[in-house]
Amino acid sequence: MRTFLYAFVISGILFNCSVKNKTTFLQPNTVSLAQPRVMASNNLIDSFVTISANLKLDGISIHYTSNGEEPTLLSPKYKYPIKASEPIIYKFKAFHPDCNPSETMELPLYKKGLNVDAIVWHTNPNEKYAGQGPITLINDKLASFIFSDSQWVGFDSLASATISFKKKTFVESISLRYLNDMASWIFPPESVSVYIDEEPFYKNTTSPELLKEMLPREIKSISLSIKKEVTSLRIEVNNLKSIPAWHEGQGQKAWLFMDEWIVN
Amino acid sequence: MSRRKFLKQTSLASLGILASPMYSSAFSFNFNSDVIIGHNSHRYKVDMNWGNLNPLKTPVKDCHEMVQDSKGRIVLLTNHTKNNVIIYDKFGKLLETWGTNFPGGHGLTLVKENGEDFLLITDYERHQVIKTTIHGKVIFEIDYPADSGKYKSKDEFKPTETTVIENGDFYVADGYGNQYIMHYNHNGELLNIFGGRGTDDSQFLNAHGICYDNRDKNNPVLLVTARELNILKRFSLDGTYLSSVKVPGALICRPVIHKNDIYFAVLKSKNASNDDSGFLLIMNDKNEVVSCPGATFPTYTNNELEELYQTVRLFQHPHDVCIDDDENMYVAQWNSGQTYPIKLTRV
Repeated sequence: MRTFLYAFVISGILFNCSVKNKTTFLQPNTVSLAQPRVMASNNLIDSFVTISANLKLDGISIHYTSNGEEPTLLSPKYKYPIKASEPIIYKFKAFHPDCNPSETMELPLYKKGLNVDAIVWHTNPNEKYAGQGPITLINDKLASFIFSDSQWVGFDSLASATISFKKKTFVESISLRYLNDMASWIFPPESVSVYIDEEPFYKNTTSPELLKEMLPREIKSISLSIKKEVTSLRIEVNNLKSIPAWHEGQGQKAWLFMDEWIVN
Repeated sequence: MSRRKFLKQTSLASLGILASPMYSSAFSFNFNSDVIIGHNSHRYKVDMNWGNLNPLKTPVKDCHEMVQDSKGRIVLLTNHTKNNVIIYDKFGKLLETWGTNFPGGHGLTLVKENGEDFLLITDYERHQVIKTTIHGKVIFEIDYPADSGKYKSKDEFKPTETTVIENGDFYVADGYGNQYIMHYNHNGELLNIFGGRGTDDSQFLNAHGICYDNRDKNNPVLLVTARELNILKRFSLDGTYLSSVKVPGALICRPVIHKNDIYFAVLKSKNASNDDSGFLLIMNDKNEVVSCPGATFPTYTNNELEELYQTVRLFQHPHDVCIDDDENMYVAQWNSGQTYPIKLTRV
């Protein structure tokens, strides 16, 4: 409040001294806030994790939800780091009285997965984006937004691998985490197929809704229900073969970046 | 919040700036309710429409760089080959256009010789540096430094910037090519070559901009941006590495010296979720960041600058700034929907 008073007085003086011309200066509520920066101590929950959110700008407030809804000014206000123990999606949004709200920043949390005994690759990632080698997708380590992060494995063609267990293990579900960074030509996968013990089990293609327009950089996941005892899962993830017409890479193949396959 | 305020005060104390509460706001409004951006001594009102022209008659693609000529006119270089050079007055009125063969027109530097203005243009698609008169007549063209042994072919030479010193010698930064800095004499003869790609002190990743810094008349130096590394590097005029100024999070394009300050367009914030996350950055005479229009308040903790990032989505991909003789700033943007330059009026 004090800040505003000072600003009012001083800029009032400036205004009186200046020569008025026809220039139209930018007015309040015409610009949006950037997304808040959201960090978790770990995205894989063993017992609990700590989440913090920040946007270093005076006068902002950050509100969040953990029930899947879009945050509004009525949602809980972020004040200090949040302790979380459930695998849910937290959503954060920044507000300022003189700016349009930010886009929502999502933070998905996952339960730490089952230990996978082996992974065998049938195709190879692009050599520039080979991550930490074949185990990258099952090493319990998640990547940041930056595609050069060594926890990402980048493919410009089919990604196919088999994960296996020493003995039959009940698998509830598997989550495939991927990067959506359209400005860098990194898109959601075109399709995903799963084979249980080499038998076809599931195939799906990505919703065209996800490819309609340029979206902010985001880490997303595809969660597949398995609910079976298995010894191996072969997973095939196809990169997008033709970038949509609205993008500068129209018609060319897109990159596919994944950092972790989480088996529960 | 209280922690942040504490840090801010610490930083102000360490920077030796007299702190007043009003200066802490990065985004505030005056009596007339105009938005004001920036911090400390460098705060601005924003005119988004300053450079707007009829895109059917005078189109732009990427707006790469801008300079003010001796007549006070604002000269813009775009890679649109219908009119590579667009000249405005300070009020945004179109005065003149020329140039149809700079498909990779990128770097623009004003050279004053015996009272006459010339331009040094770098073109990363032609793999050349071109000197022209202010009206566009070509004086000379420089190809890749074949004899230096640092280049296998001309395609490896993708110059992004030039700078000129008092005796007419000039330097070229090969920011999209092999990352060397070339030193030429007034006639365009190669005298020295240094730098190269890498992360050592004397090397670069994206040596995007170069600038002659003679603010200290007794110790003139070169400033070179290593954009991918978020570092401004200082070199002696003979190419010896001197020191680095780190700007965490800021992909700084070229240094622009005006009076005692250095101004930068920041193409993007390193760790932002949106790609169009650029902002502007101003350093004082001690090379300390004092203002970041469109981004976080610059804060030093234990003499280390905290990561800077965009807070309001005002700029998309700023690529260069030009400061005029009224202290106002013009912002040219790359890959920003073929938009025209923005003018900031200092308050």
